[in-house]
Amino acid sequence: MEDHSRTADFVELHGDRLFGFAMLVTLGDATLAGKLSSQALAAGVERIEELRHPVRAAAWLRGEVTKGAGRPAWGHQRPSEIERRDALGSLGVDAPTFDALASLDVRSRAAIVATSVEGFSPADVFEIVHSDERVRRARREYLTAYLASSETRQADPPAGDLAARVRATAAPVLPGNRR
Amino acid sequence: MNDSHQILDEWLIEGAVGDPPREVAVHAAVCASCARRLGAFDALAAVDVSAAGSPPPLPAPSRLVVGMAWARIGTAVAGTVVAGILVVFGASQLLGWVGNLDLGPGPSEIAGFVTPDPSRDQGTINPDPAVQPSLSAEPSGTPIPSFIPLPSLAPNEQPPDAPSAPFLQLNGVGQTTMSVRWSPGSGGGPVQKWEIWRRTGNGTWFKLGELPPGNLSLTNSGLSPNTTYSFRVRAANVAWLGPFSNTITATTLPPATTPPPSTPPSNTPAPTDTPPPPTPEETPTPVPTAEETPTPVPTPEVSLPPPSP
Repeated sequence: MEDHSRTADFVELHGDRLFGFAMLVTLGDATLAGKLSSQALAAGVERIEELRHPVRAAAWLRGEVTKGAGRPAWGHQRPSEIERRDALGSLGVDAPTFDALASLDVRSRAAIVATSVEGFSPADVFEIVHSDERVRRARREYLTAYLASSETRQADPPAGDLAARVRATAAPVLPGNRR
Repeated sequence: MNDSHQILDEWLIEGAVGDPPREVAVHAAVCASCARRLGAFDALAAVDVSAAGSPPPLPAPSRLVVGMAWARIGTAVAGTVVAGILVVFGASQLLGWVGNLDLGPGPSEIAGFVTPDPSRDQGTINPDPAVQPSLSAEPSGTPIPSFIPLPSLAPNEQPPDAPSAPFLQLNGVGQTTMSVRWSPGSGGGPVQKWEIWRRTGNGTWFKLGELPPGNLSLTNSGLSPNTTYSFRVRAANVAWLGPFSNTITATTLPPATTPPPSTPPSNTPAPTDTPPPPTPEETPTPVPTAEETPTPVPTPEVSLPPPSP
């Protein structure tokens, strides 16, 4: 009974976000993402004693999903690109971001998602992709691909926290703000 | 200009830690190409992985059963082989040979990367009930359930609007406790439950639990002293999960080095040698993640509890 409850807690704690991570890593393939995340959760439940630290557990589970996503999925019918764009659109992935993520390999995509979407620390990202250099390379490749797609699509760039930080840094010396 | 782009690119690729050089920022603030560069990563920060829904149920443990069957076959075969070798070479000779083998690191060393590290992120949810920090709703003090089921919509029932974002405030900070309270947002559909989320430092957000709609405050105890935690709350109703509230970040009080001689009657922080705990206004804003509320929020009032004896 207690084991069942602990399993349910583990799945409740990690399930939804892990599935979201898998959706991004598989580029919107909900069937494959569901299979990978539930396999990772099942493997995590088997070693629940070792995975008591929630952040470590989250990184380990994402590492399992990334490993699984890198293996060939024999006999699996991938959804169409339109379906996958739709699926990721519901998570807030716009067209240039989808294009840029699609240009990356699975591990680079996992690195980008873990750092820039989920905010994992470098140490935890290392547990997921087993390389620091991979993160830098992924961010560089992602940026290049995003710029190309964004310019082709003439998409307005979203203004978020980074843009606000840059404006705040520049504000004291911008014309009109000088004393 | 190309230099500015290159410097900005490197800043972004290295994780956008700290501020960019001011001259680059001045250029970037008015450059369309730089806006795209910044937008590339702002677009990622806007992605909400928790919006994907729930994964399908766990698969049946067929792999485990097959694995155990193979393990049994392997044990039987190995046993037969060992018995044969014992007959041929004699037990004493074989045991001496095994004693000289270097079998490498033990299982705990091999699996070190998943061994819980007690120095990191203490006080977050832990499945072990013996060390699980308690999270209780006020004023009842009853533990928070991890999941409150929602009623389902009738087939022809009109779904309500999504609940609006609540406004979260810090209620109090102790050495190992933090209290928050919130007020429901105006408008939106009726609230069926509240989801309480927390993270440690700049770590990952985790849902701590859920509360019935009548509860508007909670106390999280069992936290680590002198550790920064952030809280946020969102409402759910029968059809929607609402947007998150503003994020409240505060640091638990440092452990007292010596017990204070007497408790002053005023409502001020404990008179220890260590500096007072930062309030949300003083707490440096952590590097925002996708879940961070992007809009500026009003500064919450902070009421610190009387010092613990």
